[in-house]
Amino acid sequence: MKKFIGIIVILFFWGACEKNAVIVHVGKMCIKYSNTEIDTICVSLENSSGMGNFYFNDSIITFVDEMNCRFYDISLDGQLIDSYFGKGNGKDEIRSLLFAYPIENDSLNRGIIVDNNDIVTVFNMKHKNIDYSKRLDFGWENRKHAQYNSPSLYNIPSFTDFGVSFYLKSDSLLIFPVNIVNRMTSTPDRIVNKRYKKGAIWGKLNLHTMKVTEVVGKFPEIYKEKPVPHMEFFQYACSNHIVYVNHGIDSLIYVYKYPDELQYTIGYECLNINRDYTFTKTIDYGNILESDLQHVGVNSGLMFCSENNTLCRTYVKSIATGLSGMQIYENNDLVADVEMPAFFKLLGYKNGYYYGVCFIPKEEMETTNLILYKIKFVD
Amino acid sequence: MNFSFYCKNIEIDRIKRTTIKHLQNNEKYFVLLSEKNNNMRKIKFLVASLLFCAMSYAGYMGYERVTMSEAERFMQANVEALTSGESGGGHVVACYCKTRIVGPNICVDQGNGRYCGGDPCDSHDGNCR
Repeated sequence: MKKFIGIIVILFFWGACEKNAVIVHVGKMCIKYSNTEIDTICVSLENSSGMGNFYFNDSIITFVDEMNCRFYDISLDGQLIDSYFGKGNGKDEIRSLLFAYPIENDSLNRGIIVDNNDIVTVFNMKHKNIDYSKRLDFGWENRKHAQYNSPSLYNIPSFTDFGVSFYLKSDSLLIFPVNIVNRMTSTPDRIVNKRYKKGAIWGKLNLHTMKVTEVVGKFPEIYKEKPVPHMEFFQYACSNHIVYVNHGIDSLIYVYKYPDELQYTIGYECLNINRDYTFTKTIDYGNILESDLQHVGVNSGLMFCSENNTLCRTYVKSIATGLSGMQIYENNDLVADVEMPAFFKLLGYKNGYYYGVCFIPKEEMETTNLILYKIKFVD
Repeated sequence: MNFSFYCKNIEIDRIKRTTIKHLQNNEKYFVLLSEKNNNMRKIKFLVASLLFCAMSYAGYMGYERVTMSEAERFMQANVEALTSGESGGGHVVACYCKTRIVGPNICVDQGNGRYCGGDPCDSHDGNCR
């Protein structure tokens, strides 16, 4: 009889553990800023393709041209300071480029360049030189019988238009976002429940060997309830041991103690954003994504500004129109949710002003015009 | 009437009644024990069945076999190995579309889009098929 009761108790707790833990949501809606003062600065670049990405480091905005592999440093008042690197096989030249971003918390001022072949180049932002290049090793050759905790099922994010963040976990360990490579799973044409229970979102990269040693983190509950396998991108920001994570389709911002110890959630839905995603367990390698991109909106950025202790989230209300918005959270409370220029990307904060760009430059006959924004929030 | 015979008979009767009472109680005890054993057996069987089902389900969900699909093998046979400048060599580059908002779709190694057609990703940067 005692054994029977013991078995029942064990089964009860086992079943209880499978249920979702209660997630605490904190923060209030206390709008303090409802208007903005925006200065627009136009920076002309000759011989630039206009295709690439932007980043903000040490009060300099850098435009990375992915076609000619050239980096353009621009001051906060719109002056072109320097341009360096270029396409080629020589010293301080880059053979090809997909995107380049700084390592956010690196005292050595390094940045990461990734190309189409998963070749990672480490460069120095201060000295403007290339350190070394090596292919990312996820262990794809050994992916037989791989589980979702194996790096061999993952690759760099499939959707990088809104940026990629790199953080140093230790001297040689880099944290970066990853996506599951669908054709490497046992069910390449559909997703299974285990994907969002066991799947990871970050990789840990050994910068010396370029080997991805581990994958960590977890998907939020929204994917289990409403699967959107074609939109698994996210943005995140680190502050000490706290990680803020915002997935592109989710209104909530998850606050973890690194890497996946959920503390609580914050966040309120973005104003007038189109969340009409296709919920599906089918993987069709492009059609559903391209169809959704015709009308949906997504979260496009997350940044923690240590200077004024605010967490900022940007979003595109509809990718078709480019209408954008930005939220500011202070101590978990929403204090602003305002409209931003079309295709707005937040880059940084300095001396009371937020700096951003239109991430689609305006191209003319022989010139590319970068559109920079200097923004102040007012009551 | 012989008093001692009467007392003896009374004693005998008492012993008989007590013995019958004990027998009846033992019978009841054995009947109850038998019923209890049957119930316990049923419960144990039920619990064991539940545990077996749970373990089978957990085992089915927990084990994933990854094998290359026929299509993947076919594609790999047509893809050129390209690792120039890389130590170790031998990496087979498989190019698939990467959807973008800004600019045309491009081809990347092990992208999550459609197959790009076998060209090395390095020189194939638009118009994914």
